[in-house]
Amino acid sequence: MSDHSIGTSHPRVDARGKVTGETLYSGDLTKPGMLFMKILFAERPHAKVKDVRIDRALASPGVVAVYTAKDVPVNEYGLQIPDQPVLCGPGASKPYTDIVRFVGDQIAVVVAESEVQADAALKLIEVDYEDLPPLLDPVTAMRPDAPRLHPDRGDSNVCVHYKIRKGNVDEGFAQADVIVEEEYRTPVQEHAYLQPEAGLAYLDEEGRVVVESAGQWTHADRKSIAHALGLPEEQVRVIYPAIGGAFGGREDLSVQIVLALAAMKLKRPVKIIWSRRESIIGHGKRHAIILKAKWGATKEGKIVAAENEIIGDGGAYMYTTNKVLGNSTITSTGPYFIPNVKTDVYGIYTNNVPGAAFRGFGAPQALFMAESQMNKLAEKLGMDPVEFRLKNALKDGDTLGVGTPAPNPVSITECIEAARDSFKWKKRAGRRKASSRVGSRPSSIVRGRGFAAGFKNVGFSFGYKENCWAKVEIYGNGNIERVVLHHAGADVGQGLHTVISQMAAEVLNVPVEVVELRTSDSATQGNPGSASASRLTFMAGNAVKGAAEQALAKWKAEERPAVAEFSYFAPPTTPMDKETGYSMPNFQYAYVAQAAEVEVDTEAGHVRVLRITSADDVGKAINPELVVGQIEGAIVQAHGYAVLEEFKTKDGRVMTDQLSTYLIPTIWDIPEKVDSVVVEVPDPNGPLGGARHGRTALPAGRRRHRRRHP
Amino acid sequence: MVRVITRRGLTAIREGREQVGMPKKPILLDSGSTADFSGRAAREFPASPIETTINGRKYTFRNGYNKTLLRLLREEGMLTGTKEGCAEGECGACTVFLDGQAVMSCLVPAPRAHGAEIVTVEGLADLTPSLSPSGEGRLHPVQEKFIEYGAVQCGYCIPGFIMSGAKLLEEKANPTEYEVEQAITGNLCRCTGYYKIVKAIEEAANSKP
Ligand code: FES
Ligand code: FES
Repeated sequence: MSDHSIGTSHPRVDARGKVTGETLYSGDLTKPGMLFMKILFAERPHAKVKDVRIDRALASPGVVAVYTAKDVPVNEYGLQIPDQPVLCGPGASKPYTDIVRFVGDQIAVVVAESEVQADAALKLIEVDYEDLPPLLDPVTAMRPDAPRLHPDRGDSNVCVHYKIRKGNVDEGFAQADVIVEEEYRTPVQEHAYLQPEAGLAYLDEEGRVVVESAGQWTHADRKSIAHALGLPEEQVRVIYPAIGGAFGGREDLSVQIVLALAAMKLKRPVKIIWSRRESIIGHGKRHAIILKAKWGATKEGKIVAAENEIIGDGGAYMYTTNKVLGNSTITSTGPYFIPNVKTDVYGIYTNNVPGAAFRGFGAPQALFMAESQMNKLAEKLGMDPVEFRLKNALKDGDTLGVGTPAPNPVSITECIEAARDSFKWKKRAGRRKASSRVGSRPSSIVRGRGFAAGFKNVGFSFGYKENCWAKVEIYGNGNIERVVLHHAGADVGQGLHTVISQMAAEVLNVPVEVVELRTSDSATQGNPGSASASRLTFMAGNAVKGAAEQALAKWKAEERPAVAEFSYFAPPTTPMDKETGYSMPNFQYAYVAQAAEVEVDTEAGHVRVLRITSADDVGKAINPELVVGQIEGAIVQAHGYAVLEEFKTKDGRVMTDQLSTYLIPTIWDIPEKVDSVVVEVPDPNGPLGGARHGRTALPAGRRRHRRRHP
Repeated sequence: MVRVITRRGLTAIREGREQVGMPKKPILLDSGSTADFSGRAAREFPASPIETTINGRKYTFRNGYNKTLLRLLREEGMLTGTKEGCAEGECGACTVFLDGQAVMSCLVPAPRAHGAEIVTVEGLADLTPSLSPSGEGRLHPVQEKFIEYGAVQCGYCIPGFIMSGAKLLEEKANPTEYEVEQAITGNLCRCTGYYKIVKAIEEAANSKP
């Protein structure tokens, strides 16, 4: 019999296939008789499509079909609301889908016997555009007189507006001894997952349209595809092969609908692989956000009021802007108790690449603002920034901006203390000078330290009825010989498959190796919910635990095989009140605190991070090694966001459309040392001793204000 | 900025410090090139096929002469372990051994494979029979340590890192940490943050008999 499976760093169950090259990603799939697809992108930020002529492309060698907007049964899709045309062009089934709203809008697809032939034919498609002036600045776009980008969606480009009204900020500021008022801007970030979008679609033996592609939520993909094709959901089947990274960027669809359309019409397998450039212009990005804040504190170091205005560039379509900015709203006061809060958060349609989910889901931007405010207040008060944070840290029972307390346990104090102590915050205060000379010149390098804390939702929140399904089959006679675990949750690289195998093994008291996985197939499995919002370890954990326990009970009652399905429903949440934001928006939060020591070359502007200590509360770490891997990866991604990456556009066109122009950190661009402190404050609702999240939510922007110049 | 960098460069040259920080013997990911071009006369494609050896097996390709080596391997050779992440030499996911040298196969024209000896990630496990007591199927130490030290997340970059790591150990049995870093400067990973990858390669070096 096994030792405990959870709490040990079992090697990833999918690692062997990945190191030998056997693991298949969507771009590696083939089928006999397979055709290839290429997509014609608009490559302009705002235009009306007058005409699309495809005759020459159709006559091109090897071409089997060319599809335009006219050919899409229901020409709309979107994870939150269906505001995006599948293909932009005239004559479609839905009004206003002849408008191009960003460079990555799709106009037509060519299907041919080979990729080269499809590519050649793509150049023969003639499109007449009437270019329209692009709306690229969200502040301009939100004015009442700005031209509307979605005439069928309300009378302005404001697609989201959240308000928080707690206490009375005027009275709060009247008590304040110091006030800090600032404006911050956080930039777009590209996901740059190493595997560009790809997929293979075909009809299965039951006549269903199958789409094998990387995503983050099988059943949501299926729903969107079925809707656009005008098919019942059962007629569409979504399967995830291995997924080459996601970070939120695969929540929204890219190639899936057009692939399914072609496979359905042609009854032949159709494949597509996006180039890196197509990936960068074609999928959503981290929202660029403008954040204005006015915060006040007493000289004893108590924050008394916060007033925030946050304007997020939603880009051309909604994607998850409503959810992302909802999370910005909640996290905009940081993990602190503030009695008086007034916050307005806006999401704005523009002609930029859509703002989408990206690790941290709106929290990094809001926390960058909150933590910068904290540093500035501490400085004005002449107080140690860590002490100042501890004085204001949320405690059990304290109300958030939304007027209700965070669900227990609130562990931000533990995280702050753990980061402070492990980093040796006090001791490092004196270390200001790097080396004093370089050759003949005095060194221009100075050294400083910084601190930040944060929190983030776990789960989809705001009243969404969240559930997660799992099925466990137990085989054998006297002893359990084989366990089959069915689960559709996406392993985007975070290690979900390993974690759920460990959880099943733990409940059944068998070695992890006995557990066989059947993963990510919408035709045979129930809804797992999304691999996002840091929710899967919690949700899938509870589902797998439920299914395994029920199967075990049947096993003990001599059922052979013993089979049980289980759907876990998350504790309920409520949406924000329209006027005050009052709500119980989340069933759980994750907490983190970090300290950093940084060198800045004051002449050349080069920033070197010497050390980062990150204390993350994960509830109970199911697999500590995986958690550390998540923390390290998140820190490097955040570090890139803060000091290296720069997504450049010109007149709405993407200038950094390759990995040679959009630079992500290499081995020589990373913090020299990362100390991960895994704080385990168990959650009574968490599965198997309180697991909370597998994918550490790292408020990336926090890295920036650490660069305190001494 | 330009002024600062120029001044620093010129000052360094004047003071003879321009080599400071450069490795004396940089890592080349080359364990002694075995390229032998005699008998590899220029050919007329597609009239004569590309004949090559991949992972010890002979291949004859009649198609794909106008592709990159990466696409030849993946689309004609059906060896999909080698990945395309950028197609412009930035990410290293396409790293293979070509005549004893680690190269980014997205930058190599397919005809260069003619007469060449190629190793891909699929062929790596078999390269170390002497380490394998039971004979078949033993993973390369770099592969083993990537699993053991949690260096794999989404895995898309991993074949490239494994190839760079394996070639490094052929070039230098006991590399320093700095040399391990040099070996993977041409490989991008968006998931792991690199720390566990460096550790895994170091451990692979230590584990070699
Ligand atoms: S695909 Fe060759 S370096 Fe990226
Ligand atoms: S493991 Fe995902 S890119 Fe390296």
